[in-house]
Amino acid sequence: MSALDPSAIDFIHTYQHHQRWIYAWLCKKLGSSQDAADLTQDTFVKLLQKSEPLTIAEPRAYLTTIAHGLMVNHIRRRDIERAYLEEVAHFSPAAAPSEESRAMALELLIKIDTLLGGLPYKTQKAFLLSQVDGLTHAQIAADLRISVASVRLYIKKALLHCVALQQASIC
Amino acid sequence: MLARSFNHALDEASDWFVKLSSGDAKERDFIAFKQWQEADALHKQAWQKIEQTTQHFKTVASHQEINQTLQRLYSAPSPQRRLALKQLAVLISAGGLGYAGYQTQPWQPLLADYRTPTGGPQQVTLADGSTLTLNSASSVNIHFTESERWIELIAGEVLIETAHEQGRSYRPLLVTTQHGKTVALGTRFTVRDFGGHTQVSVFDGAVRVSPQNNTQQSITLQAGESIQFSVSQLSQKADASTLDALWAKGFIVVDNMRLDAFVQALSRYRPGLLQCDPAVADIQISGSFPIHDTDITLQHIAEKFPVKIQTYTKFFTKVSAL
Repeated sequence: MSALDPSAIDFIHTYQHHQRWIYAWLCKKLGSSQDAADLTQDTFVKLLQKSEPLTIAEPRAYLTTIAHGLMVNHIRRRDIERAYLEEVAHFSPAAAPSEESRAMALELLIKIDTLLGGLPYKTQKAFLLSQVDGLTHAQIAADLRISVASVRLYIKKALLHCVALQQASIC
Repeated sequence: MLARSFNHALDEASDWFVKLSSGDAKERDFIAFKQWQEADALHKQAWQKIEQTTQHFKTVASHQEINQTLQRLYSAPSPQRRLALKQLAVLISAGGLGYAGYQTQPWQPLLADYRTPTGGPQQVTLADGSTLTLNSASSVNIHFTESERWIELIAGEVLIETAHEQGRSYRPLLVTTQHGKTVALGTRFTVRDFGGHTQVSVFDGAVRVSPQNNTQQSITLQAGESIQFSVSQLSQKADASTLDALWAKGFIVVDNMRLDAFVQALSRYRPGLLQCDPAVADIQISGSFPIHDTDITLQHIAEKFPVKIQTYTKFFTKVSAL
């Protein structure tokens, strides 16, 4: 990006005008100045990656949408990480997973959450009970108190949803 | 048009996936699936996509702590249940695979404090220092109070090694199943719920067993003894072999067992359908075999005996004549 590039000038201009309030807004929402600073950066990185020109009619609304999306992801990640750490907190020191396995576990959990996150509760649950716990459809139906026909429907729906996301390489 | 027909193949592939993983697919379904898969390159591609996606879930099944995290994320346990979960102090080892071909009471296993998928056993140290090893496809609830240590076996089998609690008054340790209760008298023993009855085997110390509806009939078992009981009746005592608890160390040990019986025993540790061809059923087999990775065990059998292992998708495996 050269200093004379008009889009760069636009970007700097947008940054100077909006950086402070986005930071303040994220600070208020997240309660952490460190996280807010990181996400403010991410918001502008996202903006730079957008192909459309920066002449946005409502820059505040536009930037808020980006920042909000990033914040939701950030909070979800934090929740996943917390749940995982609580789970392994009970491990004896000898059995505690290494840094590397922790990182891999978190990556897998986030991936699965991205795949299943948008689905209704019973659809998620039916799919996990089938694929992870290996329960039969009859057992899942009894566990979730739904019909076997619904179990089949939910599992198919979840499967096609995951395959579609995977294909769109969202994750 | 290509995209449309691929989507059509994907839709069919997902129907196959649902059918084959339902738990009641028959051998003919796997053969029909194989034919469908071979019939068109698009079918193959679509199936591949599905396998790529479901691979992630298979990885979760083999890591108990990741699975537990997901259960935590996708459910909202009540405060009491959270507390109960905390009482399961230390998770020592983890491992195992998805699927379960066991009989269970409706919905109970889902609400259990601790459950294992089909696969290798898993060990847990309880708050009092006792260790609990859960066999494949097993679940328990733990209720520790001031006056007792109650382990409720909901499905499957557990090996219990009791600890002497230090610095507090004695609390009896008891294990209940749908058929009755077993009180430990400082000991190592297994309790297995077969659905219709429960079997208790004692390896060290002694236990006292009482059927649910006939507490008058309780009986004390010593080390080396085992018994079966229903809600109202106790069987004769039989011998308990230490070999019967070796699953807790990750092995099945057999001595001149028929191959069909061995395959059935192994199928407890393996997702999907595992069958033995009647043509090879009476081959006699001896030795100790790992249960954490049944693929390795099957491969080993194929090397030592005149049999071959045929696999149709991850859901169906057959041990058949060469």
